[in-house]
Amino acid sequence: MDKLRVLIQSNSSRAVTGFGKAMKNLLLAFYDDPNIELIEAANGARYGADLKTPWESHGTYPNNPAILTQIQGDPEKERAAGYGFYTIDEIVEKVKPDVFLGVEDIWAFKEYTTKTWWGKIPCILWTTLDSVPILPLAEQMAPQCDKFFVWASFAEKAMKELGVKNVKTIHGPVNYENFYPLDTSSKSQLKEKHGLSEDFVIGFVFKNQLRKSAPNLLEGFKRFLEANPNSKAKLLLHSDWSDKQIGWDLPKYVKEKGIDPNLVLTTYLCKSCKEYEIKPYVGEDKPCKCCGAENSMVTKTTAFGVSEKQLNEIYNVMDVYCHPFTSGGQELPIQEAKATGLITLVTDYSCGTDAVGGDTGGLPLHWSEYREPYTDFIKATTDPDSICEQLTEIFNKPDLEKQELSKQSIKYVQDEYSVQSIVVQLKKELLEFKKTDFDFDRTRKPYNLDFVPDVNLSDPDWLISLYNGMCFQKRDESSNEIKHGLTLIAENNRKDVYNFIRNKAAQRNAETQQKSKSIEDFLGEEDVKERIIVVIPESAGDVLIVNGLLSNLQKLYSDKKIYVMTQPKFFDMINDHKDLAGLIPYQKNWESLLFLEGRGDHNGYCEIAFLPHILTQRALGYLHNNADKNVYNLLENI
Amino acid sequence: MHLAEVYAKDLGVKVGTPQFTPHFFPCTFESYITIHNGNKVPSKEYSYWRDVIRIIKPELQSRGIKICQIGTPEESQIHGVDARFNTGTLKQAGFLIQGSLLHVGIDSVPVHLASSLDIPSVSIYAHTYMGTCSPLWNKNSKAITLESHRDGNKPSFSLTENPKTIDLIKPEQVASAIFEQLNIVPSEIQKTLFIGDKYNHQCVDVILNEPVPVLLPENSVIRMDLIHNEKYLKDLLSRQNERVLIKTIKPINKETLNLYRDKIAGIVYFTNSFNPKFVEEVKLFGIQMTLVCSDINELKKQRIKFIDYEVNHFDEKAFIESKKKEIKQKIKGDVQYNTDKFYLVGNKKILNLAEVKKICGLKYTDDDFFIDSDHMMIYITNKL
Repeated sequence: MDKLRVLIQSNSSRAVTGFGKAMKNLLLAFYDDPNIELIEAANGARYGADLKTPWESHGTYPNNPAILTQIQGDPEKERAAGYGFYTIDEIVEKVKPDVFLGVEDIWAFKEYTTKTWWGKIPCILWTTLDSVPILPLAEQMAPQCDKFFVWASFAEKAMKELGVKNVKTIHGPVNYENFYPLDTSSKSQLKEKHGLSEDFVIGFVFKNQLRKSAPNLLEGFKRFLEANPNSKAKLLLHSDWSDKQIGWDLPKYVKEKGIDPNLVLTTYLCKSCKEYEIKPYVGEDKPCKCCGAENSMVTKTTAFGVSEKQLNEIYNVMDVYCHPFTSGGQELPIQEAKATGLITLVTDYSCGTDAVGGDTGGLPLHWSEYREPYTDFIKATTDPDSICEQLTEIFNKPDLEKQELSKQSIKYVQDEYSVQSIVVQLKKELLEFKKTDFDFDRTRKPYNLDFVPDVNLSDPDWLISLYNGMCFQKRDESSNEIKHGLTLIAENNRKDVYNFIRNKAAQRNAETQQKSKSIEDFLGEEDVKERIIVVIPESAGDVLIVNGLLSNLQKLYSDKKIYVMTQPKFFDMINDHKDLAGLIPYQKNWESLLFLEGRGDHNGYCEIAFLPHILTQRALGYLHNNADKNVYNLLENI
Repeated sequence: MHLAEVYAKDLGVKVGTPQFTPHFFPCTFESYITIHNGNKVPSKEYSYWRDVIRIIKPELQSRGIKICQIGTPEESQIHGVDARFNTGTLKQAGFLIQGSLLHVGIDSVPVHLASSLDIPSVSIYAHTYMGTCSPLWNKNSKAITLESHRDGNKPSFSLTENPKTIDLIKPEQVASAIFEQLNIVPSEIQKTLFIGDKYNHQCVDVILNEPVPVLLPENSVIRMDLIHNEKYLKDLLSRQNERVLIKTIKPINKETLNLYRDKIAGIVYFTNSFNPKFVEEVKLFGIQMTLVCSDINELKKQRIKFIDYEVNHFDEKAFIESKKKEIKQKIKGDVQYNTDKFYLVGNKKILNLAEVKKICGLKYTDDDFFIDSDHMMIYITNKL
């Protein structure tokens, strides 16, 4: 039986990122699946590179010199290239998948709905949304997908409140093989090894960044110490303490709050022997008492950290896990901590809502709302009193109750986050689709301007039918376009709305006709070496001036054909010239000397390209107070 | 259009000659040529100056002409020159150029200084069009410019290239241009037939057929795949200062790895079925490991098993066949070759693998020549 071919696009499975690890876990899990074949489209890897994976994989960063020339220096195009925008069409055409599954931040798929294959094969997006209000892009894209998965249930709830119907929570798959509770004897030995036998250890594992509320935790810890002076509590912050540029200056906050620095611990790792030690922070580059190496003990960084086996030991040294944060996609350490049997205290916002209450083995940390500047997202600042209260609650809880919560934690992550359970859920969703019969023809079909919906339909159904029949776009009542369209119908009438949508469709057909052509469609049969292209994007007067230069240009290059690239609205300023071989409609991404003339193994489209507007329209390099002179007397024939 | 013309057009004037006054720099040589190889733009840096010197030096030496490299201390030393002058300023470089018979170099300021001082020059170009930046101002002297054929491609205009198109200019082309400028008719001339893409890479492969009595340079390769002798390995590592690479087809004792992990730069493990315990141990000791599988039928299986590693594929037989095909079509008759790779057996330095195998009692064939061909420059020398 032919397997269902699913093209999954995300961070490369070799990337050490949340998405990368999820991708690897899924690809491994599906490798021997009898019904589904996953093919990897790896963001961050170059198109055409050998990714050395056991499964079929394709890098998505472009390798075409013409495209690279176009994107160079344009941050938005560079970002789109990083998300595979420029190569995904080729990959889809090559792979011919039955289903497309995109697993990235939502903005990675901006404009994907304009792809010729979108909607022709089932398209699923599986994205992390970490705050409310929900990103408008997510709200807009969800109805255009066959299925829309989110990593946290609060996002599903928020989107359903907006009227989006096809959204579902599927958590990111995490491999817990290396995270489990050690036996009592091993835990005791570990604690003893690090001098923590008598201590109540509160732990937080995090990348030191501003959305991890370390200062709040320090304040909460301080209050806990004051409320419980005999607790022998210590706070273990397993993080990078050295990079104060992007994160918190932890030593400074410890000092500021008047906390005894011997009560705030971190994990040191030896660069030489890779052994680790848990102890108070005393700076970086310290000697290793294990191998004797000088200046080798450091706190972790993104590039250098403990192994998973060591991290499991570190979790097992803790008595409770506390994770205050402003918002997050999934927050992997929470699930790792749960897998080791720790009771988790987590801010009850964003993905944290999935980690507390019920049978999760977690207790909530209360928070207050604040608005993030520029984005206006709601973020959480965790209440230190709540931290203190919940730590006290756990500290005083009888052992039997703690054991019960611990068991719940372990079961909860196995049921909800393990690779096995996620794969079961995902497989069920994917097998709703059948093998495709789409021919993967990339020619963009023009909108059907003659389509008229059935007049007997209700307003919503009439609009949905119009979008589907004229523009071949799936919409439902939750779509912004339908909601907006209903408002317009109420204020005006169906005829006006029909004409408006039809005019937009006609405009789009005209643009598509132009855009879908390559530059070669506007050039003649002559050899590249026999061509000159003069680029003068605007305006009418400039084009007229260039018109006046064409005769002399043709005399100088009698063996060449001369083309002019300008905006179509200025064609009339030059199309009467007898020496003009052709007109090329101006496109910004064609405005590059190296794209037009060629470089390396890219042959280009002409021998000579002139871009005289660079010094006049792109940079003002010709004014000179009109006081400059010229030996050439270029106006002598006027 | 030449860059000077672009600026002239913008200023509305015609191109003229620069006025430039060199500053004194001490040099006692009466007759010399200057040579320059900058590294500000990696694409321009020519890899075969050493071979140019090797070709021209006998003729220049017999005529009492010295070869002097000019430039800054950061620029790589050209092997074989008679003197190296770290010219602090361009005006000092200009002084040396002005006193020379000829300037030879990459497309850089010294070439233009030579032109403005009317000194003959030989300069080489690749990543941009020669015509846009060639020397302009020679009046009584000549500037010879050599441009790479780039295999028919256009210039890349890129600051870095891999492989560099400037290296397509053969050393004898540069040498011939130098002889032409100095009115020298050489007694023989080299014709390069093949240059491997690892030529100029210094490489020492060590065979543990007997103890190694010397200290090895950094990144020497211990060929445990040829002779697996852990006793000699341990002895070698115990004395080494610089880190070495190890190529092996079998696991190595973990005590040795642990004890000498700081002296091991990396392990290349060649096999069709990797030993997981060995792989894990190497990782635990923080040693860089490269896994290479030669059997295409085993590759997927090994890649799944060792998913956290990039398992490479290398088919030695196919590699040899492709090299044989590439080289044999260029070679007819006896040839010479230079290489920067050699094998060390005890304290004996041996240039080719076949001889190494013979000494060590291993099976060898003519194909062994092609295994190291990427490290070679193969040429013939014709008497004139």
